[in-house]
Amino acid sequence: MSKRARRSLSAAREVTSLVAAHYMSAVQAHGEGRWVAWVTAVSPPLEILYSMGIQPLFPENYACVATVMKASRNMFDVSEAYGISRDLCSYARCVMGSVLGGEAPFGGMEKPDFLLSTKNVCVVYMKWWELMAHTLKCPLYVIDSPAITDKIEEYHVRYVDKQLRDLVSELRKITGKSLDEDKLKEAVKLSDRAAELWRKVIEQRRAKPCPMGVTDSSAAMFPLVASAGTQEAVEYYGRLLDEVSARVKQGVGVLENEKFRLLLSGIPYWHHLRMFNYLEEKYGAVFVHELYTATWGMASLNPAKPFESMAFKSLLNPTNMPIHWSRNWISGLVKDFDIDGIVLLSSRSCKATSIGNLTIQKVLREEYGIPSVVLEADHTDDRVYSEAEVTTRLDAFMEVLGAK
Amino acid sequence: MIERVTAQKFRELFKTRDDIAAKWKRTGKKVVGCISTYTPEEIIYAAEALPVELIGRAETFSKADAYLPSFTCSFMRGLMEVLLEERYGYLDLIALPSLGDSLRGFYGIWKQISDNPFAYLLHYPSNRSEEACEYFAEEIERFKSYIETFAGKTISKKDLRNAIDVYNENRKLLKKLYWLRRKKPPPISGVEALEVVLSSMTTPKDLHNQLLETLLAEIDEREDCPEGAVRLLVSGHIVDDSDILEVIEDSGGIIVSDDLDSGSRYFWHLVDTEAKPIEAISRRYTRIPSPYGSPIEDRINFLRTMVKAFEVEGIVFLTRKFCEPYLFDYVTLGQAVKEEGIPSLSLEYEYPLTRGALKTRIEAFVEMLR
Repeated sequence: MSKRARRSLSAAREVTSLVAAHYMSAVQAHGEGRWVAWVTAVSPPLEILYSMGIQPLFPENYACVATVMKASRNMFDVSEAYGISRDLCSYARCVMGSVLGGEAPFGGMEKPDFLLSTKNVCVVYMKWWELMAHTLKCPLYVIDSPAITDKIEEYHVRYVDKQLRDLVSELRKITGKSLDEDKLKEAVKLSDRAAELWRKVIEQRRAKPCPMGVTDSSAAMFPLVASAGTQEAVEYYGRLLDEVSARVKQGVGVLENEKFRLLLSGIPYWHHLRMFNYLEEKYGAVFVHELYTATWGMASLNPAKPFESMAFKSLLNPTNMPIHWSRNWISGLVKDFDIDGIVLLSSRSCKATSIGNLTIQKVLREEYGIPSVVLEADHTDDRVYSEAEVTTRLDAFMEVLGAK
Repeated sequence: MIERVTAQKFRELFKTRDDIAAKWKRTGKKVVGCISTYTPEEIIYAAEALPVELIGRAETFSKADAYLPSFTCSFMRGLMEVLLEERYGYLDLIALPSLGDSLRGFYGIWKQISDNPFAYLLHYPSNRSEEACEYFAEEIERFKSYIETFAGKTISKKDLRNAIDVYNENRKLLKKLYWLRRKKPPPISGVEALEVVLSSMTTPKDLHNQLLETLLAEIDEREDCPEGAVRLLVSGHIVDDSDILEVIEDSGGIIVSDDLDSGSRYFWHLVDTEAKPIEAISRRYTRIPSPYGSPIEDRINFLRTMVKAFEVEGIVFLTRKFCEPYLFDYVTLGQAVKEEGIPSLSLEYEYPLTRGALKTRIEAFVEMLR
């Protein structure tokens, strides 16, 4: 048994109150006569919204929070009774349960004035947002990001850039407010700074022992998801970096006796985060990197070219990139972070993050000799989770890695 | 003596599609598999290649399971299986529009594991703005350059205009045939109509046009018109095998109209011959009312129009297991038709078909409408 050396990072513990404050901020925004938008989670143009005084809310994060709070089951029941198939995205089913009036955390999300969807993560985002727009009778704006088949080309960027500019003029029409270019540049600068700090935090995890595990990391990504483009996010990641760097300097890790260093792919099974504790405590195995949490720090932004760089950032999302790109990314990480094995989480209701897992596993094994395990459950719906099955597979995998 | 052309002829064409494609290939020309309804086939035709619909029809997935999880859209899973089995050895290329996450994922996986056939992904836009239409036109230009190199044939303006004319002709003929189904009883069954459309997706268009013209000239003489107790419309994605419609028509329904990728959506809209060819093609393909970027109201309106025009008494929504875009749309469409007082039945299915269970549900639905 490996004892966990430290309590959670204090910056990670802050997140609970930040989440509650975030959902309240939309109520406040409406109180101040500002607009509220429901947006998709990965690289929506938050910088545009914040510089126009529009408060974003994240249905995807809301589903995740509801699941961690063990409040999602009743929400599933409501949406399934409405005719939403159980095979569809469990984030969508969860949130639709709330939209349709089911009991939900914080009394449901503050109703939006408009919806904004990007297709850089999945096509389902589009379909889910269309359904919400229809149900809520709200305008919907869609950023149609092309899937990248080889590398990001100038024409991909130009297309998204153009759509972002169109969005600004549409928002001017509905809110009556123009975009202040200086404010936008400032938001872009702040967003870029927060992402840069997050990348530095991630870099610190190369240290042995690793100073931050997956549970803290999955919490600490929240300000970047929700508040990229604000001063608060920059300050948050400053604090986090200080804390993580201090641990590295003192040689303090998540585990007293770190035996295995793992990489995580896929969305954590939010209802069973204790799966990570199991690996830490039983095997001394710590996740030193997650593709999922790294997603929010992928690209730099350039305040001198705000639209172009926001477009690029939106396109450079792992699920929007081709498999050979993921393969190169993962094999590089394995080297840089001295990783022993990879855990790939498949989710039955999330094709975008799951469909390539078997192929990636095969390629990693055959071309790089990297061992991995693919688990199958659902990121939000705990009804399709079997703890016994997951434990058995993890035990077998750890045995392959040489655990006794 | 001239051969009589009946619906049976189109069934044969579809059943022998592999032979037709293989024969085409023996002439030294290319065969391109595609998702016909959303791939600008005119470009493929203009390059003297044969576009054929990819039929992802498998009952077991022993080869596909090595690459695709069991919860992948059942159509893509089937397609992976048949490609790995090399059942379509004649294919040189597969051209896939980026419609759903399973499709996007399929493309990426295929690129990793095989280049036989080659794979090409076209970005199909997810909204209906002018910009999206312009971008799709650019995407078609890129596809055209690719195909020109691939097929070794430069596509001239004349080639393109000719392709548009041939395709429009096919669309007009198919629409003419469809309109006849307003009659009571209709001169062709739903199964037969499906086979006419599916064969259009797999047969060289010039030949298909000739046969359609003959069929239309002779169809009035048909004496054994199909019978059915209630007039149904089927709504859904691609139905690539008539077996599921057979189950419906064996259960007392007669299918008189549809809202299918392998039905009206394939031919209802024409390419504008007055506009610049590529732009016109882009506009035509991006205005099909579909779950891939159309406002849901467009789909509701299309259904409403069809129900009225064909005096439909009930709708059967068909969804292959794990087909996300259609499952999402069904939530709204199902509610909308209910509000309009149109009875409907939703059937999710996968292969192998559970005929007995499906039949019981359809019979109950037909009974209710009688």
